[in-house]
Amino acid sequence: MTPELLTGWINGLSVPSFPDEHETKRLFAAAGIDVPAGLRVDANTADEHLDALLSEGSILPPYVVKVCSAEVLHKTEAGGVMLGVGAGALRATLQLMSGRFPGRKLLVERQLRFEPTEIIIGGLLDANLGPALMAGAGGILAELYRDVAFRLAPCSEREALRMLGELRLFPVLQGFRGMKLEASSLAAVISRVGDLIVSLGDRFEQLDINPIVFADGHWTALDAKLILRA
Amino acid sequence: MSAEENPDRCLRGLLEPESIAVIGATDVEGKPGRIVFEQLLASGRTVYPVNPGRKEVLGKTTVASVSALPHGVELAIITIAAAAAVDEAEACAEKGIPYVVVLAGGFGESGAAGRALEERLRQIPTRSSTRILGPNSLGIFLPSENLDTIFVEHGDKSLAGGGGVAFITQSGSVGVESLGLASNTGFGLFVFVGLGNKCDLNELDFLRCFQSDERARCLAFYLESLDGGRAFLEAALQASRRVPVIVLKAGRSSAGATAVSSHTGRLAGSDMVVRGAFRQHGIIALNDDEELCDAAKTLAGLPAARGNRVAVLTPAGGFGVMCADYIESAIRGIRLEMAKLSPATTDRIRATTFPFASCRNPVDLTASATDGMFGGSMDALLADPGVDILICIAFFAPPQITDNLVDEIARRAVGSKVPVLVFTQYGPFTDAYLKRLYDAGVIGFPSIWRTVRAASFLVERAAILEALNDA
Repeated sequence: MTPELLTGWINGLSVPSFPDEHETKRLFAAAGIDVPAGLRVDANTADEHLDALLSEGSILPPYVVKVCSAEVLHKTEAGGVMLGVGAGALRATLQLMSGRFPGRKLLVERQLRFEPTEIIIGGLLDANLGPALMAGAGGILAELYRDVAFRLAPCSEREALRMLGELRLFPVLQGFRGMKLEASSLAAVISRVGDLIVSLGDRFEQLDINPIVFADGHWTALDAKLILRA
Repeated sequence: MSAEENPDRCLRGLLEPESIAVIGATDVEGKPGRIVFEQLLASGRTVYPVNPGRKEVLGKTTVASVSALPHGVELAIITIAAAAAVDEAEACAEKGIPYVVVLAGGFGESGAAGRALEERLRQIPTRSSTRILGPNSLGIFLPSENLDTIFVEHGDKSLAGGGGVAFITQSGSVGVESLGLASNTGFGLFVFVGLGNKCDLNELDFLRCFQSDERARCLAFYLESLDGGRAFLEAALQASRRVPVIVLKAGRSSAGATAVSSHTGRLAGSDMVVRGAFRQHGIIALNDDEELCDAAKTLAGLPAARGNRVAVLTPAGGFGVMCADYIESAIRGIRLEMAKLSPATTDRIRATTFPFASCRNPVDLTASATDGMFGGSMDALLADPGVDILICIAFFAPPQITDNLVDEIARRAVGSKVPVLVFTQYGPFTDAYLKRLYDAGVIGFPSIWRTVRAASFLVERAAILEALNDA
């Protein structure tokens, strides 16, 4: 990630210093972290353009529709996530969500099929040691399992692999009960996240990727939140 | 000159001073100024008592002030209370004395007035070449140099010495109690450093200094703050290529407390970042003083294990079973396994013991075993390529087993590439046997749990060495 690219991204945020999920995922994509194909729409996105934009971005049904705003916390609990939306139901769903969250942008993503294991990757700033990484058991029960390990960023792929090796769920990444999950490519993603938060420098505050899942041979960040310092 | 520029003779004036001034030396019994002066006199070095109020102390003519000291004093130990100690430290800097140890408390740890005094101390190294250890420090104890500035009871010094542990502690009491352990059952000290409030010299200076000192075979730290930050971690990573670095970091970090709206923030509200950072930098993290001392003793005395397979040799079935239970439950996140013994090993043990002996691991020789059978079985187990660590359970119950068992074990354990750990218990004599084992070069512990935990240190150390080679 070049400094110019990063500066351009920061300057292009629709709400300065508060990247929304779509903007965060664009940054991830530029940093080599896979995200689902997605499109951000708002009330001004004309109906006749929607199909063209979806096909241009290879965003195939079924869709996930999410409210896309840094200000809406706990999207799922607020009714801000709709899953399994078919092509024919998309417009109605967008209307429903616009009514539920007036003035907010919406995110339309391709809904991926993935192996049923959810991982969390986090980034944080240690008061004493600076940027740090976390990885472990993700999903909505992440805080219940507390099966997470930490490293400082930057973090090599090999070190990230050792970090994963500390997790109780590590066997799951090694073919446990026939699951096809790759530890090495997950370690590569963790290492890239580390590089990303380091390159954000003193703008970085905290990052959540929860969950990241293994879909079609790629670890893909389904949800992402990035908190910047002003 | 910093330790980094001159690693061979780092902190020499502090660690091997030829000429020392004790400021506040006195003959009043029980005062630090008396205890320290007496201890340093016994070291045979040139020691000047500085005290304007007395003509002589313990038969030595005093010097009235720091400015009146002869040139060439390398180390000043300031034994007087906080406010006056700062004046004297400033005088030492003016005199050009390279190292000053401030023993007194009453500085940053005790309110605004103390903080102001400590700030004055902090200024000294910025405008002079004088380096300061402390304040609120126990100073230095180097058994091989007979150099000791610790003014509180700290066990039998002659027993605490003779080993490879560099023990660097921010807390005086944790340090002193650890020295007590060292002298009771032996962990063999190379050097003790009390960091105190770290107004100048901190853990990073001593890490850099001792990492290349062949006499140091394990660098053990008790820290409440990581003043060196990432620089300490980087230096530890380098040091751990040669020598185990172990740290007990007390006090939870406040990481992640800033933005608890995220999962990461809520999951990181503990010392987990520090733990992860330690692992990343070849540091073994420990939880309490006993674990720190056990790890120091183990890692200074034994090589890293080549694997995680443990054989257990016991004259008592119950202890063997408990040992196996601990081994098969992952302790400290380290996975140990009971070794599977080869048929050749089994045959050899039967040949040396009884035809009916149970030779499954744990190998139970029963109370009928003799010293010689125990030793012969050790030979068989140590020769088995499937055994990475050997735990011996040693009881000194007559008539079959005698005190000669110490020698039987030591003859095989010392220098063995497969590390040997001993669990022993013998009522009120336990410590004495541990000490005898230690003096014979054998690492032992008074509980099954601590012995198995010691095995986990050796496996963790091996993983660190592997990661260093793999990086």
